[in-house]
Amino acid sequence: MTFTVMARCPASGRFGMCTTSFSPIAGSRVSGFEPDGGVLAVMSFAAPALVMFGQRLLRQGASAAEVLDALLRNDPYPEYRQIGIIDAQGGRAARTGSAAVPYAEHRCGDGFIVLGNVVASQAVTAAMYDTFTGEAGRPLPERLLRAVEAGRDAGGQLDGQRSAFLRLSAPGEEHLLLDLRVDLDDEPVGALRTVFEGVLERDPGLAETVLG
Amino acid sequence: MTELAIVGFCPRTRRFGIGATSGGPGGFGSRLVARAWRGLVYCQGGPRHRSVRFAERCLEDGWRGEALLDALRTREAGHRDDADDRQRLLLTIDAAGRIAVLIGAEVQRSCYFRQGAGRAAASCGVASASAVTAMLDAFDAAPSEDLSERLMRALEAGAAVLDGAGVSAFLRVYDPAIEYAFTDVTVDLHQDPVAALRRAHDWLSPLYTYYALRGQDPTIARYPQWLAGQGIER
Repeated sequence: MTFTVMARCPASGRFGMCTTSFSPIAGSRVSGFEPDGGVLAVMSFAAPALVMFGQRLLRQGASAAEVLDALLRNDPYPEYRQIGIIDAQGGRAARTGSAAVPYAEHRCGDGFIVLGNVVASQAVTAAMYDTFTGEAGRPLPERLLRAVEAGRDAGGQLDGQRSAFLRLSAPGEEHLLLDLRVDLDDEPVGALRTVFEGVLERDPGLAETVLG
Repeated sequence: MTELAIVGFCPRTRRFGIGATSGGPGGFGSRLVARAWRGLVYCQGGPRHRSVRFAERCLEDGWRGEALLDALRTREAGHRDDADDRQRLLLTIDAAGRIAVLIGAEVQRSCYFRQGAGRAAASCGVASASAVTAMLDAFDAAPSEDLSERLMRALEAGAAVLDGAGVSAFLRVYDPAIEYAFTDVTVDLHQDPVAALRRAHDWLSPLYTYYALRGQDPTIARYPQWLAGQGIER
């Protein structure tokens, strides 16, 4: 019940993720960031304990493929999960389990992954993929948000969206550069856009860091 | 910048948690570190929060309560020379309900702190202790409620005293049976963040247990059916 775009900027080494979901509080359950190790998402049937396990593996230097393998081997319900991982070297691994609710798929691009489940159609993930690719000149968080907006505009979740989040990490920074959540809203992607622009307007230093 | 925080511990469920509101537009991830089975540390004040990350390592190493704050004071000498540290209030509660606070020298006149058994309230950037008093009173007035509800009521009481407080708010509760947050709700950049937090909490509170269960077993019923089984129609 979620769609996500996650990416690593090859120039800065930053990781970012933008997600929206029919479920509330997606920001508390889906993503894991290790600023020097990688980023992962466990979706479809969210499993925060798996996210924490994957984070620990990324912290230890595991590759995306190694993390995916470990998650699948330790999860009693691997077919229910949709998983995306990008490691510190830009390696990507993704899988959509057979029990993920249709329409569900993932696509790996150059330095990024899009994932969606219970989305209206293939057009949702295609729009996210094409938008992220086509916005290559923009700052990473703007690209991520535009990709999710495109997914929403292409049909989004079958039953609509309730929550969204946008996160950005940077190598050497122990906390996230950007950590914005909309946990319950009738139009969370639009609300996330408002929060994103409002926060950067209030904090020019943050805006320079995040958009620079 | 006005900031309010309430931490609490429930001896019945062994849960501990925090509710807070801030004049800063979100970014609580740089202010709060928490570990289930261990405790949490929350930072009010200054714009940089390196002490919070050091506190995270202290939590993982086994430091708790006053000893954790002592570790912050003595083990991280670099932070003692960091002017931001003098502008911060660090509040910690551990998984046994032990509470400690460290109030920086430069914010002692604008920060207030009140503590009782298993709960404490702190405010920064306010003119009196009335908000922290109201928060503790509200927390104490509902001993039979779930911890998340008591924290929520305390935040509402503090915000009411200040006629609204901040532009962001959050609620976190940790349960001894779960590795991640049992309750985890955030409002970033909102005109009335405490009211928005209340709305989200009310919608979600019947589902906190559901999400904890489904995180372990995705084959359980979807939430409308699960709620119906609890006698709740949605």
